[in-house]
Amino acid sequence: MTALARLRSPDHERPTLKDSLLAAAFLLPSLVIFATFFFYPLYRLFYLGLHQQNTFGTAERYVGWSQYTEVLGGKEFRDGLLTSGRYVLLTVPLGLVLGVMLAVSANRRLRGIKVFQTIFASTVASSVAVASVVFLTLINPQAGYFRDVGFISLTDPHTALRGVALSSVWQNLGLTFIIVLAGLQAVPDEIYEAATLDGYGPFRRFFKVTLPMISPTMMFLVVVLVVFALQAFAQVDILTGGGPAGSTETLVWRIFDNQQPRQLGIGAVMAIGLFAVTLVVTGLQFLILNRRVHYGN
Amino acid sequence: MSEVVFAGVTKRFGDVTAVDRLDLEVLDDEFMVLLGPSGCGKTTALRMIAGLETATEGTLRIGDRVVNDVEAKDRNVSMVFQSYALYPHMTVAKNIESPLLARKVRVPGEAEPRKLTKAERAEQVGEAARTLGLSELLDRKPAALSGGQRQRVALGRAIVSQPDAFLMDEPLSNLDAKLRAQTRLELVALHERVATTFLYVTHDQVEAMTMATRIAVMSEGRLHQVGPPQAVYERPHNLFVARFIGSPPMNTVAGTFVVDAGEAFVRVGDGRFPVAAVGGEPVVDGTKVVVGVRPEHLLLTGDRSSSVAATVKAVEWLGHERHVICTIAGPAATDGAEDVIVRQPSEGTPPTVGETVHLGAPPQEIHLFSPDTTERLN
Repeated sequence: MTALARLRSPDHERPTLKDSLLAAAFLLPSLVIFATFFFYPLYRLFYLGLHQQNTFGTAERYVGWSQYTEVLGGKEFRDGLLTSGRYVLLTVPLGLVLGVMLAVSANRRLRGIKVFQTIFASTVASSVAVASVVFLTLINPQAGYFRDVGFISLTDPHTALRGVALSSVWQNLGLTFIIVLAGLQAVPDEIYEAATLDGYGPFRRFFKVTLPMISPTMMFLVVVLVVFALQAFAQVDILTGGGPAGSTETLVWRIFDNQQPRQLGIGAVMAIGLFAVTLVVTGLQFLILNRRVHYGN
Repeated sequence: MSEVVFAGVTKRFGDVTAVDRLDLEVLDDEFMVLLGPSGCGKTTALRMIAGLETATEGTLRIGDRVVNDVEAKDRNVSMVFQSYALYPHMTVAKNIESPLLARKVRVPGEAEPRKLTKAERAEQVGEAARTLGLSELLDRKPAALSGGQRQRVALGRAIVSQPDAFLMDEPLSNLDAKLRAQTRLELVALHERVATTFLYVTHDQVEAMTMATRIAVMSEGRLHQVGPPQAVYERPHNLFVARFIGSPPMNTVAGTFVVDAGEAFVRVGDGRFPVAAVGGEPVVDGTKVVVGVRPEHLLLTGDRSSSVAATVKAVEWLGHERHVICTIAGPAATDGAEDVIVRQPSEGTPPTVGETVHLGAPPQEIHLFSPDTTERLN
C-alpha cells in the first residue's frame, strides 16, 4: 500500500517513519525556496519594523510596537493606501472590461484570427519598464504624441494617476486577454448551441451563459489584477516618480522611498501593512465573489 | 406535431461531403432513428434541421414551412445533445425554464404563439418535472445530479417548449448499459405521451431496433434504407445494411447462383444452399453473388446434399446462446471475411474445434446481393 493510499484508507493507518521521511523529502525543495525568499524576508521585515537604524545603518535600537502603531496610523501610510486604492479602481475594472471585449471579439473561427490573437496578447511579452517607457514617449508632457490629451496629463496632479493607470491597463491587457480567451475556449460549443436553440440573442447569451461559465477565470483575474495594482511600482517610478505634488505616490512607491537607513523601519512597517491589506482584500474577494462563481463539474 | 422533410439535401464542409443528396420524409409523430457508423452524416443531418448547420443544397421542411433560411430559435424544434449541454450554473428548474424565457410558445386556445408569463412558466416547468420525475431535484445544480438525472433534465428542457419536433443526438451514449436500457423504455413512453415527431441519431442498432417507428440507415453521407426495424432487419436493401444491422452481423460469403434440375441453389465453397426462387434476370444460372445468411439461420445439419462443409474454428459460449465460428472449406469460398458464425441455443453438446460440420439454411432466409453494386438481388 502506498503512503497516499494509507492516508486515504478509512481506518487511517498511521504513516510509517519511512513515509514521513519520504513526504519531508518531497516537501524540502519548496520549503527551502519559501524559507529563503519568503519566510526569512518576512521575518526580517517584522524585525526591522521593531527597530530604528542610525543614519549609516551601522547600529539599531529596539523601538517596539510603537513604530507599527505610529506608521500604520499615520498620514503617509493612509495617503499611500488611498492612492493605491484609487489606482486599483482605475486599472482593474477597465482592464477587465477591455480584456473581455478583446477576447470575446477574437474568440471565433475566422481565417487569420490567430494573427489578431497574437497581436492582442503581445503586451505580455513586454516588461513593465518597457511598457512605461513606451507610454512615457506617448504622453510625455513635452514631446509625447498625446501630450495635449488633458485627462491623462502627467503634469496635472488631478490626472497624473490616470496616465499611469492607463499604461498599466495596456500592459496587463495581454495577460487578461490570454486568460479570458482560454476561459472562453473551455466553454463547450454545445452549451452555446443549446442557448441558440433556446432562443438566446447575443446579449442574453453573453450575460446568462458566457459570463457565468467563465466566472472562475474572472475571479482569478480580479484577484491577480488587484494584487498587481497594489504592487504597482515601476510604472509610477518611471512615468512620474511619484509626482506631481505626490499625487501618484502609491503605497509601494512610498515604501521604496523610505530606503534611507534611518527610515528603514518605517518602510518595513508599511510593507507589512501592504501585505496585510493585500491579504484582507484578497480574502474578502474570495468571500464575496466566490458565491457568484460557478466551478464546473 | 409536424413532419420533417429532407429534399435533396447536401452538406459539404470544404471538399468533404458530409450529407449527400438526402431525401427523407419523417412522418408526423413518428419516432425516426437515423442509424449509421460515426462519420456517416447522421448528426450533420440532424443539425441542419436544428438550424445549427446550413444546407449546401436542397430543401429542409418542418411541417409546411421551408426552414432553410429560418433561424434556429424560430424553427420550434428542441434538441437533446450528447453531452446534454445543461447550463452548469443554473438550477434544474432554471435549465428547464430556459427555452420559455426567449421563445414564443403555442398556448391552447390562442391563435398566435406568445411568451409565457412567470406563473405560466412555473406551471410548465412543474409539469415537465413531474413527467420526468424531477420534481424533487428542481433546486439542484447539474453537478449534483447523476448522468441519468442530467439526461432527464435535458429532456425536460426539450419538452417544455412544446416543439414541433424533438431532435436527439445520441442522448444515451453517456449512460451505463443498465440505465440505457431503462431510458430506452422511458423515451418510447415519452414519445407516446407527447405525440410529437422524434428524430433520433445513434450508431447503436439496439437503440434503433427497440425505439424506432422507422429506421433510416446511413453511411458515408448517403441514405441506404428506410423502413420499420423488422423490415430493415429481414430484407436489407444492400450489403452495407445487411452487415451493419444485426449482432453478430450477417454472414456474407461469395457464391454462384446455379439452377440444377429446376431447383435454385447458391454454390458456396464445395457445397450449396438451396434458395427460394428468384425472379429471373439479372440472376441467372452462373451469376456470381454474395450470399448472406444471418447467424441464427445457419444450422449444423446432417444433410450432405444441400449443405456447405466447414471446419469449426472456435466455440463461444455466452450463457443464453452459443456462437460456433466456422471456416468454409473449398476454393475461394469466402468474400473477404473468412469465417461464418452459427448461432445456436446453449443446450446440447457443442461441436468440437477442428471438427468438420455441414451448414444448412432455410431457402427463404438466404439473401443474395450483387458483388458489383452490393444491391439486393432477391
